[in-house]
Amino acid sequence: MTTNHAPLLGLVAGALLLAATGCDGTSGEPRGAAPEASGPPTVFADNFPLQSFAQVMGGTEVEVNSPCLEGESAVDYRPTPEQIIEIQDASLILLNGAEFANWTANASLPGSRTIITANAFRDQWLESTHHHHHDHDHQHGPEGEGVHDHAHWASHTWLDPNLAREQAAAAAAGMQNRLPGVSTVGIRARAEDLMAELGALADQAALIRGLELPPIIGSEPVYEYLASACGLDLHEADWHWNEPTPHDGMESLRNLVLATGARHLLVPSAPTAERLEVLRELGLEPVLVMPLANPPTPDGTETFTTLMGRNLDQLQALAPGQSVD
Amino acid sequence: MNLRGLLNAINLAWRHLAFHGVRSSILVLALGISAALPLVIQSLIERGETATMARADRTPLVVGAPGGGIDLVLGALWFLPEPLGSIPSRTVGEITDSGLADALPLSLSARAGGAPVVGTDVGYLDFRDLRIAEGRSFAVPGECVLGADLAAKRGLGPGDTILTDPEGLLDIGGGYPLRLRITGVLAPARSPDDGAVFCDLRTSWIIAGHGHVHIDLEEVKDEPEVLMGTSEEGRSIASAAITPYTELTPERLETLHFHGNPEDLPIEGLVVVPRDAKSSTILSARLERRGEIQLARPSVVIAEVLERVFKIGALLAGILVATGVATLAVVALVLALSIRLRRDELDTLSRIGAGRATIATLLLSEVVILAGGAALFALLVLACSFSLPDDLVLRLAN
Repeated sequence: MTTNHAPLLGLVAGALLLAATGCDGTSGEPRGAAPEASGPPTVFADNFPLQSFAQVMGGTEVEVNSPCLEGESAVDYRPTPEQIIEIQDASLILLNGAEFANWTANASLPGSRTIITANAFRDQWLESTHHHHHDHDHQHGPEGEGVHDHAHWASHTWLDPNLAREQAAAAAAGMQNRLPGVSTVGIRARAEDLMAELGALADQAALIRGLELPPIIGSEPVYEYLASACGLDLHEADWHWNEPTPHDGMESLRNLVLATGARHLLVPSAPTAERLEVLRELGLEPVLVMPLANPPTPDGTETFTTLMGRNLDQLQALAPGQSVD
Repeated sequence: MNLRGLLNAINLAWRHLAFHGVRSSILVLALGISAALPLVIQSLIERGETATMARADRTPLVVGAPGGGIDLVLGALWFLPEPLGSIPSRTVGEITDSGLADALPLSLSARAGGAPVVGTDVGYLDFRDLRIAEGRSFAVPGECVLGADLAAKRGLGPGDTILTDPEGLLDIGGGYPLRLRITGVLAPARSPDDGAVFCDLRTSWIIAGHGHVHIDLEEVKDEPEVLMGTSEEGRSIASAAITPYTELTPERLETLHFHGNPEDLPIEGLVVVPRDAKSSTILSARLERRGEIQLARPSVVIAEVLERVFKIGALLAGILVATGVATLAVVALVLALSIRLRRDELDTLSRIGAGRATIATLLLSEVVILAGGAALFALLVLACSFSLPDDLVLRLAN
């Protein structure tokens, strides 16, 4: 007898083949959590004040990253997409806000781990008279359809010690809530010390506000909040004072000196000998007031409060009869 | 009947079935499918319930525009294409500023080749436990990452691009298609995230026409149809012929701007993740008081949806069981007729010495072999069904 096993065997074989090849549509890829980074939690800060606050409050329990610590200018920092990915991985991202660090406007950062420290006092932001980005102001068509010019904010909020204290408080709250494995008791204790130091600076600013300081010229548009905190009669030169060719020219500065009677020019760093000579010809004495977006030296160990105290001492010394050691 | 006789009867049964291979195969398939279908349906429903509820349970609260809660939850969790109302993106800040919860925005209006383009916060990937299998996450507007299934289906990976769908062929005022740069592919998650494109919320706004970058007018100063002239202040005036770029390069991002305050720009929903149960209660009470938004609890909404699905599933399973019984009756009839047709063969077996018990064993063995084959086939079909996504029903709707 001839038997034809083919159809039945084919059915069984086909089913087995299906089971072996087609059934398992899963990749077998384990679904696990993202790999945990080893070491202490990291905090990213986009400028020196926040970097200093995070280091002071975090102590050795956190690792703080900032462009300032890598010798980059916090003002001009433009991270690559790969650097933004590294920033995304931070446990906490501290941003200044108030239009400081324009790169943050177009960076994809995790909102739940990002704190914009100046947002708490948005109603106290000061408008900047200096436009850095004219390319944002344009209109669609000759009739001006769709004009979207907008105000620019002064960004050096930390030069007002009261606002710096609010920013430190926002950073402290974030560090207590968002850093896994870090003692909140330790952060709270160190934050209280920091607040006390910033409070002393605020008191000194209030003291300066009560003094009769002479009119002052600011060499760069960064001192708005300092002027507000200390009640300065500040006149903006926007002179780009230490560049080979002054931004607004000598004549405008000379006119400003004549108009205001100012004898002091706030400068962000010590002028070159040539510039010092030019200033003295104008009857101006440079007063070193650090903007502190970056530390004076990349590897400096002085904290923001120490350096800010030095700034305020410089201003206080301008008052008649005042001298600071 | 001894063992040898039993084995001979089984051997004869097998050879008979094999000789009538086509008929035997049809019987095995008919029986197998009839048995498998109710099992597969039941399995899909149970797994669907588990997977669907798991995703719903992992999404504590969803906020969107007032309307149907089911649409909002299905849109926010499964990215279904039905259009949703929008709420201003400032709602995200209002919730996070409360300190009670994190909020993850979702812009769901865009599609790329039919796949959902989800504009969100990069933290969404962490929230859903989505890992980058290849490349990196998105870092700036214009970049995106693809779900595993979508990347495999389209053969795309880091370095490739994907073009968003135009909003409408007749909508000349709508957004332009945007070519997104793919920077990464997600590891398979066996969820709707596998079939989606993820990008920054601002990217979705650009796709929707709420923001754009501009051509550097210096590049087109010799093209009179684009450059109309110069204003009194010396600024170049471009005509309406100037088009937004269809790809956002890092250089062009410098000119990126939005029309209006970004806080007023729309999002279709947001996932709210309260810090703890107390925060959830307080926040829910606050949000439910607001008329301009809708708060939905996905676990509650999905439980209601599943209850309806269960009713339909139970009905379907009942129908399939009835069909199976009918199939079984038909098969029994076929076998009975087959025995009648084989009367001569069975008489011959009896005359050459096969007892009634041997003949009964022979016939019973055929039935057992057919039933065994059908059971094996049914199990294989059931096993194969496990390769289907757990939330198949919701995916089919996408």
